[in-house]
Amino acid sequence: MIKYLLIALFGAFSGILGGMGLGGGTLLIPLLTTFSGVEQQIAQSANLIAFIPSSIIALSIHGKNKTFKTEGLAKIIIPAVACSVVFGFLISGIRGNTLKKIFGGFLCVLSIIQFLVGKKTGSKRTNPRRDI
Amino acid sequence: MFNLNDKKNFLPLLIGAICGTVNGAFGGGGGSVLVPSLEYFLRFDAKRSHATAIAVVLPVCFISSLAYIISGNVDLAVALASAIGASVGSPIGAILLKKINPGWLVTVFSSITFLMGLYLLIK
Repeated sequence: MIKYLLIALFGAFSGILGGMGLGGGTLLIPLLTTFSGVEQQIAQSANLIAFIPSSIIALSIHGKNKTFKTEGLAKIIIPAVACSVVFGFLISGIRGNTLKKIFGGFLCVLSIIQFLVGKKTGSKRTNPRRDI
Repeated sequence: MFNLNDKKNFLPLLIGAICGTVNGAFGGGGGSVLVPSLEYFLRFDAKRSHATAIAVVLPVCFISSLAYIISGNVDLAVALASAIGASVGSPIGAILLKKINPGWLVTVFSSITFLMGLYLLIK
């Protein structure tokens, strides 16, 4: 029971980050594998499934705040869905520990990009925004 | 459906493909790829990027979780506990997003993510 309470707590923490669009899932997965002894693939699927109800709730709030536009979104969504299904199947053949190490490398690269882009866009922007 | 020779379509399609690949392979992180991509390449502002990322990753998670279910890589209790927790945390985060500037949060969050990644790599 305590194991699942802790998992729910990790979920809540990542949900706060996810609701802010900071990508809480990248933190939920290592929390599950490191502190709750969940296997990498299982942690990944838990994050995917957890994202569904939580993001619907977050999105309804964003929609109300008009921070969100739907035009042109299909251009991003269609290739995203197609690639995610292909790779979702592909990784089921990889050993959990191997995938965990690849995931660790991905986190390092991602965090550096996030840090650099965050610094850049955090400063004053002069370029006009263009719609997709 | 889209004119692939149109330069204007190329970037959104490529960004979508990378986001989907990452999110399918790692069960997450698609949004974390999208947010800086939308800001940097499509020049969205930070708040719009965050909200758009959620809207894209939602159908991605829904459909790719079916791939995980079919492959037998789902523990229902772990998924349910995570989902309940995330559903409580998510609206709190969404409300916070309107109130605070995510700029310094990105610095804190990326530092934590880097250390976590390093730990997984060298463990």
